[in-house]
Amino acid sequence: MDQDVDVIVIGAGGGGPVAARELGEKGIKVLLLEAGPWYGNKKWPKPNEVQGEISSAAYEDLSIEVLKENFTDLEDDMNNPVTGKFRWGPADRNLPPWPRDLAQKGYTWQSAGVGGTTLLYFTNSPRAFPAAVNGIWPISYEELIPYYEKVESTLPVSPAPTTAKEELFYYGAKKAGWKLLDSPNVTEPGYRPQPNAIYPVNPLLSNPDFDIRTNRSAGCTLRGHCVNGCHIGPNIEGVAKRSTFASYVPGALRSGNVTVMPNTFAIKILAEKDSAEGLHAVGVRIRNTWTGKIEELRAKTVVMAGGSVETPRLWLNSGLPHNGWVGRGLVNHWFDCMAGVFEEKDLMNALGVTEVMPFVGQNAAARFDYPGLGVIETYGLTPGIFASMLYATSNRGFHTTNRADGQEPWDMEGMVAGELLKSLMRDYRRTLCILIFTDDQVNQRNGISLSPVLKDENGYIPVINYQSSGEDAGKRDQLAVIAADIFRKAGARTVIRANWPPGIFIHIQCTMRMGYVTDNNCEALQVKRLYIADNSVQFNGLGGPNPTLTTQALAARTAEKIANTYFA
Amino acid sequence: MIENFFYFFVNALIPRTPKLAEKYGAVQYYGAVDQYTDQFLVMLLNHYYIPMAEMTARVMQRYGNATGNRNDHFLSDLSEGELIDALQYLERNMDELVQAKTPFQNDRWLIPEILYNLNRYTMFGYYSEWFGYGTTRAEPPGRRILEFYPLSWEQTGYPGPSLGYRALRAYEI
Ligand SMILES: Cc1cc2nc3c(=O)[nH]c(=O)nc-3n(C[C@H](O)[C@H](O)[C@H](O)COP(=O)(O)OP(=O)(O)OC[C@H]3O[C@@H](n4cnc5c(N)ncnc54)[C@H](O)[C@@H]3O)c2cc1C
Repeated sequence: MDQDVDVIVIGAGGGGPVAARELGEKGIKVLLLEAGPWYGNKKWPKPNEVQGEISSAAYEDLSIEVLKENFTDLEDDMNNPVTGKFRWGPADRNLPPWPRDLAQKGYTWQSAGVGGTTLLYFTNSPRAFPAAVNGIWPISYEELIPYYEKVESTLPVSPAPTTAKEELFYYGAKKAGWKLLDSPNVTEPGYRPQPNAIYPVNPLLSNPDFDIRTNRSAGCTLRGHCVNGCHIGPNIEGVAKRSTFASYVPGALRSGNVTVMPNTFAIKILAEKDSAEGLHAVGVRIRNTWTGKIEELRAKTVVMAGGSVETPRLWLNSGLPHNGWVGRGLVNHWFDCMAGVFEEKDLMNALGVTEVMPFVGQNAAARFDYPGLGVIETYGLTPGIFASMLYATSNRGFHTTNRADGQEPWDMEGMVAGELLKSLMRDYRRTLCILIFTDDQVNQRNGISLSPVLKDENGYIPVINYQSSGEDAGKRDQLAVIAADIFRKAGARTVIRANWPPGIFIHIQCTMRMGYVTDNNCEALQVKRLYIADNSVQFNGLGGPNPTLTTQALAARTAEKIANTYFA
Repeated sequence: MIENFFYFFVNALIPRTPKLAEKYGAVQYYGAVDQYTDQFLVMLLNHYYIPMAEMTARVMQRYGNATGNRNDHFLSDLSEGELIDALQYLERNMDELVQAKTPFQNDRWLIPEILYNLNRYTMFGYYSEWFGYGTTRAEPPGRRILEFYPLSWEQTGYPGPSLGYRALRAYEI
């Protein structure tokens, strides 16, 4: 049977492009399929308006000018969950987003497009806590280290710069008695600058003659738009924020062996049985999101990297063999969100300036790690996302129903409306926010299944379900107490806890776990030549650290395994 | 009826605030109805896989009426304290709505997700640039032009998008 390519990779998000580039650099011919649009490529000057071409394989097609026209820095245009450019939906924004059935309070926050959810992610790139891997995962932490190092130098990852909001957090954490961590392998609690996949600050920024409007030089300019889409740099590969569309995809194109096909939804994994290999993947059925045209493509190996919701959905919609762990084991770090509101004089005292400026600097640039509990990290965002995260999202209703009894170390808990909301939003420039990521535990009850009735053009839609455990709640509360203390020590006038519901999906992991759905090389146990290279293959929630770097390290390792197994 | 519902809903969440205006300047007076956040919500909900605005309003209204709130005036005509009580009341009862959800009723399965996210959408719409699209506000997203900055940005002190800030304090901590 003729093959169209050697390897088909499904999904150009956090993991897929890493596998594609690593394979391409080994001389293996790769087709990288992506359901969403491609921003920053001459073949799609208006990616949301016109279909454009079918695929691109040339580095020269990349265009920073096209990127700049499309990334407007405006949050409704970029981040609206229903009509925004970074939504889970097709390129054509006149069409609705792709539906999902979330069986609980909350939402999923993911993006289609070349870059996937890294189009909008904060780039925090910590390693897993060693204690969450060693003796628990089927592979050791030491085995991951060379791949971590490789990805860290390729992206690259470096310590985030300090602006006012980070300095305030460090000031509070230090006064609260925590120590500064200096190793990427975190074994004890402490705070540190985020290891971020963002180029260091442009040194020209401090030059008074530097014209920021015509700037085309390399380096972060601290403008606070990581989540809205970064377009700062001389060319696509030089864009300051290292979303995979700017890091691994250009590298993949330069290898000369990778073709990227956006606007292409994989709707079925094609598998065949023979006596030599048993059941094995032979290709993919695809659907063009503009024309609806359906085709079949064949390859020697297929890599699934559609993310932790779509990868199990695709498995299930393809009728691949039953496995009690396909789609199961979902963790999401059961986030929480808190804030400290400060008075000018207290900020003056701590920082020598009167404002925190949540819209300045990298969106998330300081963190606190606590192996055994999870993570606290600062963030600052544009006001629409800021308000909806801090004041409109709670498991406990409005704050007035949760009157503080003097026991909790925060002043308010729950959503805020009315005059108080507007009054607190007046304090936007003096508010420091944090997120909590809980070291939540894998449970087979939690996960993705197919709706028995609801279908869209790509098949039965995923039903998402996640319930936290009492143990998770305890860890999360402990982190909230620590965060409140850091806010107080930093001098906060008011400490607010949103108390998010468990059904908010930002770190979506573990639905196709290594050891249960795949072997230690990330090849499916029941289907040969079918690999997984996204967050779903992680064995657990890493102890709380942000998942993408680990997915990327595993994807680099998986590419090596594929090359050795099938293309040696 | 739908229009009324969303008007009163956004007004309850983000009302006009004369007291803040007195203290901190006239711009603090304006609320969600001045920025047409109700229209933002209706457009957003109708862009779902199934147009959802009318159904959302109907479910909320019926629910409100059935459980003792003033007929036809649900969320309307109330003082600020009462409005927030009404929102709280809805919030509490959403859990019931979700439990009552029947997955096989094709036209209603999105309701809980939408109810749970109405507050978020309202604040997102109000504090984002959307109002600033002015005369192009109702156009498809690709055809809008930002004509001015929204009042809400002035209220929060958000200066608008930026290409960079000379804000580096340190690399070492
Ligand atoms: C606001 C926000 C901030 C975040 N910040 C961080 C952070 O700082 N650090 C961190 O580690 N993580 C962060 N994350 C999480 C991070 O984005 C994810 O961990 C990462 O993107 C996951 O990579 P993935 O490959 O599993 O999935 P994705 O990045 O979601 O990529 C999946 C891709 O596959 C495509 N796809 C899916 N199904 C198909 C199909 N059937 N056919 C074709 N294409 C398909 C999708 O369109 C998408 O492009 C953040 C997330 C959010 C929402």
